[in-house]
Amino acid sequence: MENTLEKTDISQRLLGKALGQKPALPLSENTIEKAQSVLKKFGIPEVKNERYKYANIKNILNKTVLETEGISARENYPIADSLSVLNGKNMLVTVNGKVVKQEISEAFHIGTIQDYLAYEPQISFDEADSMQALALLTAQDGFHLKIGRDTTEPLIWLNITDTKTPSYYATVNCIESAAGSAAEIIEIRIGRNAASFTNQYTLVKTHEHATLRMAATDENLHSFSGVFTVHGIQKKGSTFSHSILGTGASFMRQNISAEHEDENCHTELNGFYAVDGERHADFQTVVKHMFPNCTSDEMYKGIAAGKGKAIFNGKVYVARDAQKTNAYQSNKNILLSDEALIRSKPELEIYADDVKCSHGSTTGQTDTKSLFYLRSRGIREKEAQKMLMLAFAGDVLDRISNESLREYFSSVAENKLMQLI
Amino acid sequence: MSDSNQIIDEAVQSEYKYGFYTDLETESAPKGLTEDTIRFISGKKEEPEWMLDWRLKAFKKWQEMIEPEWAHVSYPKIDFQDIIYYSAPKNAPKYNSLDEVDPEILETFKKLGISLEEQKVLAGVAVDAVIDSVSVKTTFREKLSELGIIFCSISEALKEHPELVKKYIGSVVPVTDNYYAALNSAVFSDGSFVYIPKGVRCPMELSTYFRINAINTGQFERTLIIADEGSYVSYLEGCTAPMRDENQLHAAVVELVAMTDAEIKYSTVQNWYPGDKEGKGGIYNFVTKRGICKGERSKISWTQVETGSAITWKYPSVVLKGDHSIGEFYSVALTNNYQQADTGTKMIHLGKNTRSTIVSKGISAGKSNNSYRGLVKIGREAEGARNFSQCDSLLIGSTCGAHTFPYIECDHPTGIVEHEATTSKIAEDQIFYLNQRGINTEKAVGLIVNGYCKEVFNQLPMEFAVEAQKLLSISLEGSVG
Repeated sequence: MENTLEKTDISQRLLGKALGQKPALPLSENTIEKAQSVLKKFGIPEVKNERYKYANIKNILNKTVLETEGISARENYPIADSLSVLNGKNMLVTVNGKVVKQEISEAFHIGTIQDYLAYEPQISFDEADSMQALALLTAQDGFHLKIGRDTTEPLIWLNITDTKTPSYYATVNCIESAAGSAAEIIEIRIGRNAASFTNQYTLVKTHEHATLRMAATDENLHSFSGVFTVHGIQKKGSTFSHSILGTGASFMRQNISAEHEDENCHTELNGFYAVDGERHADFQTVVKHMFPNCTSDEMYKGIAAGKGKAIFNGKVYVARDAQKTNAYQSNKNILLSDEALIRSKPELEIYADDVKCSHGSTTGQTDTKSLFYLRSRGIREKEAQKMLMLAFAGDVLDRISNESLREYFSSVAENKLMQLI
Repeated sequence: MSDSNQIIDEAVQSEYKYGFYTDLETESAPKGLTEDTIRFISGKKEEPEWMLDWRLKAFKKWQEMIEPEWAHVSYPKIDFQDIIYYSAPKNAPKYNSLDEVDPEILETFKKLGISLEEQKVLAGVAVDAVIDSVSVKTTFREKLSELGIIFCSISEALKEHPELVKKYIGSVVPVTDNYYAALNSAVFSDGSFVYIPKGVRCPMELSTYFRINAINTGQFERTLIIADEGSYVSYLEGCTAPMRDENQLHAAVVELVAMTDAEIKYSTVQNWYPGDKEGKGGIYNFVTKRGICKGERSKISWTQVETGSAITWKYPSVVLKGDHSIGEFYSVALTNNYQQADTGTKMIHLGKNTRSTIVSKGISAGKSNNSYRGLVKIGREAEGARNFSQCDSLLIGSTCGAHTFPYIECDHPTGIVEHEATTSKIAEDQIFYLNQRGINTEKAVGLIVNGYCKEVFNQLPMEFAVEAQKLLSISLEGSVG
């Protein structure tokens, strides 16, 4: 009985903590004030919050979490062998947001988020999203990663959540890629011990003509939940891409936003997700075209089975000055069972006239004609279905340029699809 | 570029044709909204007791509700106590022939291009005209009643067919549906009522013209159309208002009920006063329109051409309850100057093998904002449901906005939902091609825009299609991008 009492008021306790206590991070007064007013205005998101219409965070927190702070269960973390396929030479390991291990080349430099904030205490966030405000106000730790020009190998980031009791914890990171640099970061989200809730906010700055490719998978997050936010700020001529594989967590909300601060930027967002059981994968993307001659390309594809829920909400914003913008957005879903559900909301908000913006969204099944064709060639139904699904996933996965990463993602997706069929 | 700027300026200056005001003696309720206002309206209409109770219940609900703010429009808060909720042309309760109608009213309709007179016999359109709050004239009633068709104002229906009204009013749009529907339920003054009996195909287009005339009034009409088993009806609706500096509120509710094998085709050409080029004045058009395909194989089709109103907030929807039922939505929404439109549709698939089609064409010019907002929902039981949506936006000039907010919710594995949207401007090569053929730029734009809207215009009844095309060319006059 005592347990349930504690459970029901966890979001209230979190709110009290965020609004009543001094934040652990050295944020500027202004930022604290802003974050607190956003949190006061929107609270912990519930279904009435348009942004979180299908993701009742309050409910999830109250159901799954006992503590408002994550205390890690152990100190040492051997790097998982299963990931050796990625051939990571640069390795960064964080536990509950804190850096515990780094094996990185000189092109990367890692500091703490505290040091970064001491130097730059104004940190921008989306003022319509109270989870980002909550992350800033409640985070204990985080890192500041600087990427120099001479990177050759991708950086593998093992993002481990490990708590003794089911807890909520927040972390704030900042990744900055130097002008003219080209780098790749692969984030492997891993959950250990008690199923916890992560609220992670990552600010990504790509400077002039930098290229940064990020990828993330929640395959090893199992019964964990979390809201993961990536906010990208792009300078002139930069390229930012983010690919996400959502196949593991029991609840994952991935917010990705990219804002162009100058001309000739390119943003590419990819996602593949497969949900079964009672799992919930939720993707919210925003691309803000603020300057002329920028492009963006989004492709999200997913499959929902069992009682799974898959949600996509993408927004393309084109400001008045952003002439010659070319933006494309595509979301395709397959629904496999009676109890699964798909929600899709591709949005366009356009204020410039000389632009090409389009989006498409489809929801349906595997094509019966294609299935029949394969079966008429002597292929078993299951095998045929697998082939079609892999081809479906392939459209997204083929967009990943790093070959070993593509293979790794493909094998994870394939394993998952075998479970679904 | 200066050329096109000049042409855009010209377009901005083109006048609203229907902005005149007719000096009619009117009888109004005092300003403001209280229970007494509702009792006054209900009393004026000599309504039965249950209707008054229903209105008062709606009023209570409305007081508990808050004004919605989610639409992509911005406007100063409406003072609901500063509106006259009932205004009627004096001495005009009932007419048996046109000779009895106030000549001023007839003149008004002439200016609107609506002829209630004999030429309508040739055109074969039955008209119900509503000025401010009261239905002025319904034509062809006798001829229609021979077939058992009821086409009259809703106040008359309340007197003559109360059982039908009681059964269906609020059955599609419940009192608590939304803020403006609740307001309308409390204060609705008049509107049209149509009942098509079993197996009857209505031989003519039924048509209603709405006009807000008096100052400071709101118009709250309520339309109820019931198509019984195997019947068919095509219904047209047109609206205009005088030019005024202050905003006027129009909050209507339209309910359609289609039984087994019935078909309702509902077309609207909405041309309320859009405000002047500075964005001053104009109608707030906050309308709830919904139809239910109750029976199997029934069909409801909405076609709308929206060129007027300062703010439009309108989502004609279809609840596809009967198996194999069909819902359609065809829309052209044009905004110019400071107009704001947030319009679209909802297709709620509940029955098996239900189908819906959405074609939405948005055109924005001047400093306007035009949004498409739609919902396609495939319910848990909606086996084999199918939807196709297409919404295109055309931007004319670089100071306007075009937006798309489609919601897609699919809960059944056999459901297929497809949505596509594009936003672009008129391509220079298209204009160049037409220029090359000796067609000047202005005409070329007209041609291209008309071609762009053709899919929707094709759905309109002949007479309306012509009117819509004319309207579009007036509203767009010269706005070459």
